[in-house]
Amino acid sequence: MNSDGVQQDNVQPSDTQEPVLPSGSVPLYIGCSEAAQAELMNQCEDQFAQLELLQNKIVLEEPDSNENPEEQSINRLAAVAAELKMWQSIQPELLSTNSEVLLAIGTEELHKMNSQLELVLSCSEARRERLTESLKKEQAWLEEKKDVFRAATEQVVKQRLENERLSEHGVLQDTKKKILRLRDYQEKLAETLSDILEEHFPLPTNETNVNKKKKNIPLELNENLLSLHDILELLMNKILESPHDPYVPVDETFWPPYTEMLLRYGIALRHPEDCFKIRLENFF
Amino acid sequence: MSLLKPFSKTPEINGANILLVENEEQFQQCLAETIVLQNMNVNVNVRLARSLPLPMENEKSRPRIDLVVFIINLTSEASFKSAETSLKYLDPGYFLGKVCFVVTKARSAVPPERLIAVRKLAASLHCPLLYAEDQTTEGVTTTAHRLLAILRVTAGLIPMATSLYLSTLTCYTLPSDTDQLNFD
Amino acid sequence: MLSMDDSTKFILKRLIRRIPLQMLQKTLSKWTYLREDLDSLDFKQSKYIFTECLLSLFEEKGTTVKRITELEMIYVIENPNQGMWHGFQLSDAEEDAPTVDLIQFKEQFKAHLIELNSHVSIKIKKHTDEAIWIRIAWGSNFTNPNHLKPTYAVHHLQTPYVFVNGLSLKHKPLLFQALVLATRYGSMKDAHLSGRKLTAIRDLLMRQYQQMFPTKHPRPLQEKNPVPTNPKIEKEQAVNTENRMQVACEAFGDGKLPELQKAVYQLETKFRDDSNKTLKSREEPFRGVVEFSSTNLLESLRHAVSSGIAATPVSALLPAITQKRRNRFIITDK
Repeated sequence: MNSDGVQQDNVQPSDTQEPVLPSGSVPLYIGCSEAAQAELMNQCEDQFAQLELLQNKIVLEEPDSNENPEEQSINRLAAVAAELKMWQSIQPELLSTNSEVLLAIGTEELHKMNSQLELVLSCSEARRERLTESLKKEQAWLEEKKDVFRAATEQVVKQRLENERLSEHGVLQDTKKKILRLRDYQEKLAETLSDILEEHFPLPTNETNVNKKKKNIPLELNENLLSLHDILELLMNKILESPHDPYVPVDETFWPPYTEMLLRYGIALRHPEDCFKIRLENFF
Repeated sequence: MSLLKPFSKTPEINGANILLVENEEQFQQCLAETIVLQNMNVNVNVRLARSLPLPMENEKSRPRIDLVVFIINLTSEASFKSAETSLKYLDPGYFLGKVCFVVTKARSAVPPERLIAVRKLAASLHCPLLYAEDQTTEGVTTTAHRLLAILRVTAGLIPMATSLYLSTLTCYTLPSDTDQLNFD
Repeated sequence: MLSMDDSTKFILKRLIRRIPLQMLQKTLSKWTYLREDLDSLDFKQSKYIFTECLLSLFEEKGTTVKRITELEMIYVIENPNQGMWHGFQLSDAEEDAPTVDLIQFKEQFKAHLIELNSHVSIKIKKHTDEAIWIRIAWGSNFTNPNHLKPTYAVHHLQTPYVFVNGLSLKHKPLLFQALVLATRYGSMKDAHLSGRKLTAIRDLLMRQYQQMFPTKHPRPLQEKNPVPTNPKIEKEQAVNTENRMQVACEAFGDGKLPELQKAVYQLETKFRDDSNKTLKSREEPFRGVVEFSSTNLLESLRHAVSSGIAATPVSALLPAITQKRRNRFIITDK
């Protein structure tokens, strides 16, 4: 298709609209004077004659019909460019020089526009109403959501406090306190025990022996005798360090009366097979 | 091969002609009746055809066709194929804004490839693509209104508007998501 | 002391359940057996209560199975479009075949069938449209006649056609033999026509519907069905449309068509592709089955042709349904 043909294609439809337009609004023209109507008719006829002229030109143009899509796109581009050029070069001209006709057309256009605008108005009013309603709903919804948010925030604060109380750190602190308390208690107990032992179970000395027993009894007091305190400590350490073998061998450092006493009052036990070994009674 | 040409005949005064092409002749009949019933201050004539080319014997009596509408039933492959072959019998001048595609039954479960094919076809020919509801009267009326709106422009009844100008605004362009789909 | 046994009650209950409530009154009023008691029945009750009332009434009257089968026949004759009906054709008529009358047929049929199987319950009733309705409940040496699955056969005297419903393969030869002997014919064979509607099968097989025979001279269709068209709407391919209508009418006729539910075409052919030796050298024919089904198949086919959905010209196989009066075809190589 040559560019000439394209241009004509596009000029043509814009021409057709002109003869069509007046007859499209016939009812209003009835009000015009006969002279105006006649003038209009003449104008239409002129336009139509021009249109027929163009039509003949188009028919004579022989565009090549076999075209692939790519060419079609190029074609289209050319057509659009041609149309653009036409719009740019076109001079706006009056539809008619007759004022009567222009008045009629103007009135009709205004009427048309009026009715269209009325439609738009009613449409937008309905829309506004709908929007107002939905706004109200949204606001109510927002209030509700705000309430919910407030309640939730409060709850979060409460939960946080609760959590702090129950946190690992708190538990650790508690346990530490307990441990300290227990340690104090244990120390107190140990002190008391050692006091008692010191006061009531001293190591045997030669003087006391001389006083109690007769001189003819040979006395060979071991210099290395352990105090009851030491014995108990030994026993206790042994049972705690090696619970699987809590026995302590009894040697000459153990003063026999003390050993005897421990066994008699059920504080220590003798090994069932080896009488030279003792252990602390299971107190726990 | 007889091509249907957009400017081979002089336009009728205060008239517009629309050609509905549908392989199945189901929707076109009721659409035509609805179009004719619409209150227009223009004389609208509807021509119905199953496919193109149009029979030679009607050549004389046939007025200038201002808008060619291809109705494609998405549930039928034949409908699409028929429209595709009919396109060959149309003068390229028509594709400067005087062709329109109408797709029906897009709601029912249809193979997506077919819809994509129709969209590609409309996009490659720079034509508008309308989706029509053919089961309800409202749907048919809406489609009729939309087609008439295009027809008014293509028949040159709207001052300062040409079919080419309109089609540059309304022609179908493939959305990027379909492109994406094709790449996948 | 009159009373009904459990199986009789069961049969009655089943029958009443089959009959829709709105048809009960009509059906029961046709039953002479119940004529006097009809006024005492309240048809406005719910079906369950109504059935109970009916049961107690029958209990009182000491109704037998035979009586109940009468009611069933009344219902089936009034509503024959249930179940699957098959058409059969009698052939090789003997000289006296056209003279067989109802009484003769009745006696002969009963005698022949009982001779073949003495444990049957037969009931024969003549309907107003000249059709003889036969109801057979089959039994065996060890079982009583099964009234829950009866066979119905419909025969029009002086025609070579029989329509059968609910016939098992086992009883087929027995029924055939009895029918052939009673109608004074030589043999009986499948007409390859079946459907849910007895009336449709009968109309098609006995050519009792409006037909249009293929003609070479197209008739103007506009005269017959003028479609009011808007002058603003013009069909470009109106001639084509008319042609298709014409073709459709020639193929299937233009009146109301008998309602068939399906058509089956079975193709048996040698495999013809040279590239596939295994299939080509096979002794067994290659089988393919095409089945068309619709609530009203012939109408659907005609519409498909007239609306252009089906390609024209129409394959000779489709109009063969009405022309050859059958809906099952086996197509083989010559």
